[in-house]
Amino acid sequence: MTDAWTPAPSVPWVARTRWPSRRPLTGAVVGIVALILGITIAVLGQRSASSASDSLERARRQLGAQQAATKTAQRCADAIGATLPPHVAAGQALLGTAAQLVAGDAQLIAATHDQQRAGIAGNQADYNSAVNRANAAVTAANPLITTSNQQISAFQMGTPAPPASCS
Amino acid sequence: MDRTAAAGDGSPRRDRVATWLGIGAGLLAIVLVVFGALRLWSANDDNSAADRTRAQIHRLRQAEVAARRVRGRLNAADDALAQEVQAMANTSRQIGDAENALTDAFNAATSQASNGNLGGARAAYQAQSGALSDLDTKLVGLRQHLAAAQQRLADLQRLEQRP
Repeated sequence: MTDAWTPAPSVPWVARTRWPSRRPLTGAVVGIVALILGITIAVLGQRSASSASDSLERARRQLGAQQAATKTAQRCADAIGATLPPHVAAGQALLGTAAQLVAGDAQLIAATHDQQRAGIAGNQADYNSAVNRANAAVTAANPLITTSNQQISAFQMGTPAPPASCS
Repeated sequence: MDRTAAAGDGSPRRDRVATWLGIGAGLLAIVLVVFGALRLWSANDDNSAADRTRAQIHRLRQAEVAARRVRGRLNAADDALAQEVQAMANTSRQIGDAENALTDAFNAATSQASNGNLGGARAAYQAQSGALSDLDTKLVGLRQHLAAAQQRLADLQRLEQRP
């Protein structure tokens, strides 16, 4: 009976059952590491969200201010633009009168030159004729001067001015 | 026996504590990761919204600058026209004054001629050559101011039609 089974060495029951007892400890360590990671992610996320929220809030405030500023600038430009048509019309009328006045001045000055020439030449008839032309030019110019003065006043009064809030 | 002694934490109670500690920490970690991820998502949304808002601010600022530029151009064109009109009025007044002075001088010369002093009259007429030349210069200036004013008015009309 040399082939008889040799009994296995007796292993204490406690040792066999305690061998895997590191698992709970490893699990706890992993859990704590995960917890630290989770805390880190949560803190980073919270900080990031807080910063982004502040940034958005700031941008929204700036947007409100910018909307108001843009609206004011556009309203002022529109207000000035609205006063332009009558102002341009006043300018056109004024320059029309001014052109007639310049033409009248040219006639007057030409007549004055003729007066001088006739006077130097001692030609009374030509002199009187030149004086008549000069007087006619002055007579034609006088109402134009009155008109142009009124037109200048109207033009200056109608100068495009923004509302007081646009200063 | 030796292994059991090496582990050193043989009590089942400690194992249970470690197990529950691990589970609790893990669960809390999951909650925190989810919370952090949601906050990061929210931050991303807020950042995108802030970017869009900033882009809108930029567009509005450009519109404000454009409106101010239009206003500035209108004011500048109108000021330029007003200056030319004023210059025209001043030159026209100077021409009137010079004409009046010449008329007085010519009337005096005519009186001399009427009194038989033809030589004196001729000299008096000749003496006004400088004043007449000055008058010609003023007329040229008046025409230039008129042309400039017409140009400024055309500028203003262009702005009126398309600022």
